[in-house]
Amino acid sequence: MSLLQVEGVTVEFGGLRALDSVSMSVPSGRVTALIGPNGAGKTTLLNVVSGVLRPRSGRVRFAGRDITGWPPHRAAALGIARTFQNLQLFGDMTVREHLLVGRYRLTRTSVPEAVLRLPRHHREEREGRRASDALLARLGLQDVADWPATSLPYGRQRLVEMGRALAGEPSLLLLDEPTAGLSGPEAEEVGRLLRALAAEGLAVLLVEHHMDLVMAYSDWVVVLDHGVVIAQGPPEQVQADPQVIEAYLGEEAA
Amino acid sequence: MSEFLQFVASGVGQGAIYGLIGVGFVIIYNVTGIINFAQGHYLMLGALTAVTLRETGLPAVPALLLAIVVAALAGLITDRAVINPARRHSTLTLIILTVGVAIAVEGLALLVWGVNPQRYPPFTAGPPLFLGGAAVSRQTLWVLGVTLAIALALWWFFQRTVVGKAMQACAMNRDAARLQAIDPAQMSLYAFTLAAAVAGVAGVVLVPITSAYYDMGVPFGLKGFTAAVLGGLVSPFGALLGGLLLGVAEALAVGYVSSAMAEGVAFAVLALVLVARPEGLLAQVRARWA
Amino acid sequence: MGLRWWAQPLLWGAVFGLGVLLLPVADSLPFLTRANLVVFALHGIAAMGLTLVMGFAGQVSLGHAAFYGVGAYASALLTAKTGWHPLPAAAAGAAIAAILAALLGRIVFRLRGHFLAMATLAFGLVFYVVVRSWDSLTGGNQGTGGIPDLTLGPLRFDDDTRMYLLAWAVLVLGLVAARNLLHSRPGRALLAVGRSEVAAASVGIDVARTKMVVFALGAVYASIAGSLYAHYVTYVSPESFGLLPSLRFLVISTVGGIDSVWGAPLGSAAVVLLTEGTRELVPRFVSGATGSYEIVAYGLALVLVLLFLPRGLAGGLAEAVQRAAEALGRRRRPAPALEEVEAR
Repeated sequence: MSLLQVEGVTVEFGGLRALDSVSMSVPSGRVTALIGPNGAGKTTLLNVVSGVLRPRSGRVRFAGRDITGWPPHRAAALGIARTFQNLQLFGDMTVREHLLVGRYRLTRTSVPEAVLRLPRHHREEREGRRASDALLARLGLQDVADWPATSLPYGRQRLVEMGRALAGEPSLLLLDEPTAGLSGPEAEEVGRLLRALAAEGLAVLLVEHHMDLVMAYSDWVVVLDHGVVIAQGPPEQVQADPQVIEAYLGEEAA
Repeated sequence: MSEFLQFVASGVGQGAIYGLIGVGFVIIYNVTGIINFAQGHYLMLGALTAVTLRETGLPAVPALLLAIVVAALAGLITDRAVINPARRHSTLTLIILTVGVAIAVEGLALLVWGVNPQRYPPFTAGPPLFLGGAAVSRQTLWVLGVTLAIALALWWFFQRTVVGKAMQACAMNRDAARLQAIDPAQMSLYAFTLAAAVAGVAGVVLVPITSAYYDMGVPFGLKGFTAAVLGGLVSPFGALLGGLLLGVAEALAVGYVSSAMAEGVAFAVLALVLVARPEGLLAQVRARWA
Repeated sequence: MGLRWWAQPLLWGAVFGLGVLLLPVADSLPFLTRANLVVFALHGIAAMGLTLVMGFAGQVSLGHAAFYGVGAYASALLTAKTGWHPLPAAAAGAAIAAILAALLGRIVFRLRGHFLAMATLAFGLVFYVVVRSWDSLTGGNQGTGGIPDLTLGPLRFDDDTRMYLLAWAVLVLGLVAARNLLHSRPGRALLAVGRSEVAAASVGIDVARTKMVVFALGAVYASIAGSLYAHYVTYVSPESFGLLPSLRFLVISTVGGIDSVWGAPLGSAAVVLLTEGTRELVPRFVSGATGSYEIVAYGLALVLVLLFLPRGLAGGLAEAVQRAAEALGRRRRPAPALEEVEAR
């Protein structure tokens, strides 16, 4: 039983079927890549898993629990973290503050405790500082910890977003095109990070366009086309699948 | 029954005014994505200016037309001086900016015209007409006639003129419109000017009925917005219809419940509509302009 | 924050002292009175609540004065009509305001931008209409009077100076509370919601509930200020809680700077100066000027600040200080990237 099970999920927008009875699973300790031509429904699937969208039919199970239709903040509280295709940072908040916010689900300080500076606040701030220091170091962001996130170059902003997602110590990490706009070496760095995270037991679901990255860093590939899973398996197998080639060629020709 | 018709009759007159203001909200919102909190204040300017011009001895027609021009100019200035420079700013900023314009205009009106309501005689003198047992004042007929004329003019403008169609294009898809060399800043200017002009017309035909006073901008603006929202914020004609609905509802509430309710009705309707309407209200800017 | 334990209290003590110094300043300026100082402090407290809502959670509220009114009327009615002691009355007012605000927040949380603003405007006006119409409870248009002076044990706050010092002390406490909040887990959640709701939800923040909480907090600030106001003027009527006061709070928050807790006191001072200054000057140029024409200054100030000094007075001051610090070679500011321009 994988950490994440998607069972027969269908999503409709007006008359359009964005996802048609999609089933797949994302186990812990593995990097699962979700690929497909543009408009295939990849982001839609991430949105369903993270709670942004409610499917018309089908189920999403996380650690055995049915979380279909749960709102995003409840899914996140369980340990599902994500990044966004179009980068959703918190404006001028510093890098460190992003990581601290990422720890929201691990902390409990309430408004009165914060305002009155009660012990829990101090304790959680200390822990938060320690944890974020470690994460900053891991991501190589220590030197810019107190800079506004949006003042950083694009590649590092993506790292900040990933840091925010990791700060909550998730068990499932959803990444929507994390390497878009990154240079070759930067993308490789992300790939290596993901492998390391998987090795630590994290379940990673990655929507990706960089084929070489997918080949190099994922354990399992799921191919979506027009909302339907047309192939899934180990990278080499999928790469050679004629249907997959057709789908991508079709996109090129179009 | 004739009491009911009476309320309806007076409500329709007021409602047409709300509709005209609502039209302005719709135009500006669809073309620029902004809700112009100063919309009602253009009506106020039109109304007060008309009174002043008439007092200078100017004959009715030029006075009224000039008053409308003044209102339109206010809209133009709003766009050029305030909205355009702030184009790139956040929604929050734009909201507060139009609120600022509204406040400034109201304060100016206070300085120029003082606190007392200003009167204006009806366009055509004479007793009210009796339609189906309800007394309809001649001025109300003017209001309805002018509203109809504006509705037709707007239809012609948006369907038959290049500028009008360009504005529609902008409303449907700003980016695509830009690709067709339609300048959003230009369209914004037209939108504000047109919206202000229509509000000015509303003010001018309204003033014989309710008099003009410096703080009429807010209540009329809110009611105009309510009209626009009732009409779905997608079409000027929806706003006109929404306005009529609101006007009649208000008149019925005043008539059957109490006049203290009058103020409350529109605000309550607005609150209810905003709350009951799903998010989809904002999602679509698929303007149906005909 | 990593400073000596006495540094913060000392700072706040200094801030309080600064406020006290304003007393002789007001006396020396011909068009200012100590009563103006009281207004400055009260409006500063109320506007701080609005700053939390607007600047930090990014929600526009055009009906803030309604909560000021809730506090004022609660204090007025509970102390004058039912003989309560001022403190529990004010607390009750704050509780009512918080509940009303939470309900309002719950209802309007789905609305965005302009629509949220319109909704708050509408609700503020509904409150005003209700207060005016509910004669039996509130005295309708006539208002309600006979409010006793505020007493805290042996202290009686029955003149401008004492009222000002009390209000100023409350304002400073409010500043401390706001700062404490912002540099904490719930405060960061608030800031996150203001910047990206979707990202905030993705880390587990309940956006709707957060908005509700911030509305309630803002309302509490306004309500407390309103309660103080009631005891100060000993008579309340609906006029003080309608659209114009709400707009005044908006101007205070915006001119002062919605990004910073200091924005409210700075803005309030600016607006008092603007109001009194306008009332001094305008009659010299416009004969027979009547009504609240100072709103012209409000509108102009709003537009000018937003166009030319978007982060308000507090932001402008902060930038000036920062530039001075840089000039002295203290701190290197990161060079803004393209993204920063489009950050907000």
